[in-house]
Amino acid sequence: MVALAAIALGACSKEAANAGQDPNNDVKSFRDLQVPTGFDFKGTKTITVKIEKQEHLPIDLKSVYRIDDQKGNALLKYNLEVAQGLEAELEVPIGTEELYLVDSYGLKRAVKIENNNLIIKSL
Amino acid sequence: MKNLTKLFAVLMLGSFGHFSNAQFHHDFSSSTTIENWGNAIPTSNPGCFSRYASPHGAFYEYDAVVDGIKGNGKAIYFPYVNYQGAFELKIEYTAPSSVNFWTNFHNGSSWTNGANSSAPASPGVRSTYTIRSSNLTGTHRFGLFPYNEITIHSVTITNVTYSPGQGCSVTNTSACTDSDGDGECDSTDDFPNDADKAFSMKSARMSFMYEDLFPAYGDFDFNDLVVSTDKEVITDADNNLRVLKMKVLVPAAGGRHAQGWAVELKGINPSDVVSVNGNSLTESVVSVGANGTENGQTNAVVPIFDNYQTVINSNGGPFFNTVASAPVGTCDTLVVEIEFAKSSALTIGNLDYNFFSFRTDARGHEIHEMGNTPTDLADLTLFGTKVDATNLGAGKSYESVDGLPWAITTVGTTYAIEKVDFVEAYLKFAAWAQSGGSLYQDWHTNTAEGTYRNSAKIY
Repeated sequence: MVALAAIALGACSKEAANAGQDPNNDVKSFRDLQVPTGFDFKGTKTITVKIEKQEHLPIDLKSVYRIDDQKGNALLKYNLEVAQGLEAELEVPIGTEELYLVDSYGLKRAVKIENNNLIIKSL
Repeated sequence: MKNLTKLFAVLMLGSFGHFSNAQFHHDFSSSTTIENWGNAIPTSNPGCFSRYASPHGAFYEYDAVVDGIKGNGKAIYFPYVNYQGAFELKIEYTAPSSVNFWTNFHNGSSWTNGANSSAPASPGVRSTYTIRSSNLTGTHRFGLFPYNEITIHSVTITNVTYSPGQGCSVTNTSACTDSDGDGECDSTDDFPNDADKAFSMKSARMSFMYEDLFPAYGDFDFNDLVVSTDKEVITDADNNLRVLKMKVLVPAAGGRHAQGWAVELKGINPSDVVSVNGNSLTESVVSVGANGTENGQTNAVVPIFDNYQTVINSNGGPFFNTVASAPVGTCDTLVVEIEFAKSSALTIGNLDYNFFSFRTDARGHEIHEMGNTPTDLADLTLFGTKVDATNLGAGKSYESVDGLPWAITTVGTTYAIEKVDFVEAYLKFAAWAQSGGSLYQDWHTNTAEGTYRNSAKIY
């Protein structure tokens, strides 16, 4: 069964390589890789961080917010005008599933990355 | 191509002006005294907090569990303070849900600047509510009339003077020491004694691994040049980009060609760079201007080193740390600092990195990550030769006719030993690549022997 699968995959064209499936791991040389068009071999992905505008605020609310990774590295630290919100792109290692929003008091909460977006609706 | 942090939209307000060091700050505690008042807004005991207590009973009693005073539909006035123009009034609070309230400033006979407001809240999460004005002078006490539950933990009013009231226990402490006067409290300022810097941001270490025979294929060990870098971005209190600091190492070099390494900062004009320090240029292969950026480039290009052999200490042999049986060499740590002009008004969002290697004996022979563009000084005649399939017009660059790269980036730090095909060392790499990156995203960091890696083939 494994041998049949290997033969079938070996016959695949580059275009036929399907993202999301578990390709048989019998490739013996880098030269033989069949990768989907557009795949760039980069170890990072770009996500969009969006802190939504808190438009109901009639007056200024400005505070320092951080976006931390799981190791506590501050990837983004910004003196944020809350009424204006923020949209930013961050490049994070592939496999990163969540980051942390940290306020100026050090309080943090996890935020999931969904479809390469990190959306924060309320502060 | 776009890389790393891009930040849009928010243009922060200009400096709100520097405040004097005088301020009022109070953390509520069990010793805080709050006088009661009835129907008339209090004018007695001007140094005290005052709560509307009669005939509805007491509110705003200190609760040690929540470390604050809780109110719900009842008014509280803060002590009189003397305003001197611009100020910032900050309330630290928690609430079960958004709080609606009415606020005003009372001068003893009438109130001014009345406003209905609301503040967002998440249960159990301390938030701050800030009022700023550039024009309030004289003695006033701030009044807060919440329509729903709020717990107040502390209050800070900048640029005011406070005189303790008789019979009150209101401790005025300095909540915000701003040693460098940049407008950012020391508690949140990563550089409290440097007015040009406030925030430090660090990203995960990245490794760049190259095959150096571009535009031909090589042996696919991706260790012809291995460069690791940690990046730190420093901004000031107004979010202006001030410094990009990179720690750069060359852990390995198993290639035929002496190479240099550089970064193009796409979209940033060379004139936005004030200085470059800490890089290693010894070969006269790169021409740089007085500010350290490479001459002849539209975007700022900063050479990090122009020959890796000058930043390593090899212990003999043609290869550096790629042959397991050979003596281990060491490498220098370059700490490269790029300073940006404050007047350039750049933010962290303007940083769009494009790292690349180049041959020491042929500056134009650049190798970038797949999809990244060449710099102005790249030798474009290399494109389309041998197995390269670059088509800049189609957004395709540094990609072979088989869709393969000459550079790989990862957050891992290990690499294949000399002449070992990369997929033989990292056993899930092929599956990761052939899945388009959706599977085995931990191909480099997972150390499971026999499943994810063959350690005998990894340096």
